[in-house]
Amino acid sequence: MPKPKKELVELYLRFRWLLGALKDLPEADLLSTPNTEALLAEIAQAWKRGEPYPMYKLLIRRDLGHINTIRKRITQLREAGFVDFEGVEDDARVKLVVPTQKALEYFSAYASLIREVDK
Amino acid sequence: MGRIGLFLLFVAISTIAWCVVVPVFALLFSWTEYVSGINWLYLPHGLRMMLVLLFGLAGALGFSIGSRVLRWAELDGLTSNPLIDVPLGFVPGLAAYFAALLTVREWPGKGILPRIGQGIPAIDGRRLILLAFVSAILNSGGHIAVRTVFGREQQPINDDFLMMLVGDFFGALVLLYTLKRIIVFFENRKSGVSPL
Repeated sequence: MPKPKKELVELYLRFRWLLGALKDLPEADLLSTPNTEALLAEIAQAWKRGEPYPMYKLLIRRDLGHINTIRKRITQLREAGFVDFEGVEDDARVKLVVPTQKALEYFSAYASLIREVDK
Repeated sequence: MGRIGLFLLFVAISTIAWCVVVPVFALLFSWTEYVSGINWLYLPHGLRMMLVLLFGLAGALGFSIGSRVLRWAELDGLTSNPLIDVPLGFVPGLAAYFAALLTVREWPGKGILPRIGQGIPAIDGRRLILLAFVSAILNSGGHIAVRTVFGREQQPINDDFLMMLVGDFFGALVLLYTLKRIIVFFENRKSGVSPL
């Protein structure tokens, strides 16, 4: 098998490097939008208590925002991989909103940061 | 294929990429035109950046030749005028090349061909945005300078400079973020995560 040209290998590495830079383009921080972090904390706490929120119950939480705003934020959190939907066995219409591993890692990192500041 | 052959291949790829993308852009984004040849949103500026980052000097030369070909064929929406078009043609290439030199530390594209064994420089998304901004300034400034020197400046300089700067910068951002979305979409699909 002929050896690939060094220049082409270098070009491939540069292509991968460019893809990495494109993926790394800064985005607006989702969790810094008002009430989004509070919404995620609410979802995580309910899940921790063993009573995860059904979607419709979250939507009527007026203290977290307007119904459309909450729906939009849940969608954004799901797209960002912080929450997911789970079905309920006895009622196919109900969707439970649960935190993902990414959300738990976020809270864990947040907690260690607070502990560090507290030292 | 020797080093010169590879260099010419990279030039040819960049020329073809430019000649394919720009007429499509001119067709789809004619509504963003401020005056002939200056757009509020100039997506090909992002393509210039990527060609220069990938192919270095060969990329810059490639799209400069591509822009001359299109101007000659009048496929980019402009009428050919060789006296000013030839010097103007090299402005975007030089702008993107020097912008990469200024903004990307240890950039391996300095030489004629990619440097071997020098490692990959650290570049992140923020530096890519900085590169878009610096090359937009150099490009718009260079265009105005050449047109002033050759005495063909017809529009008020400030307006042209501003429009070109805005068009290049935001055009590059739109293209870069669109590419980011496409990459993330395909990666999610590959890993089985729903992209919706």
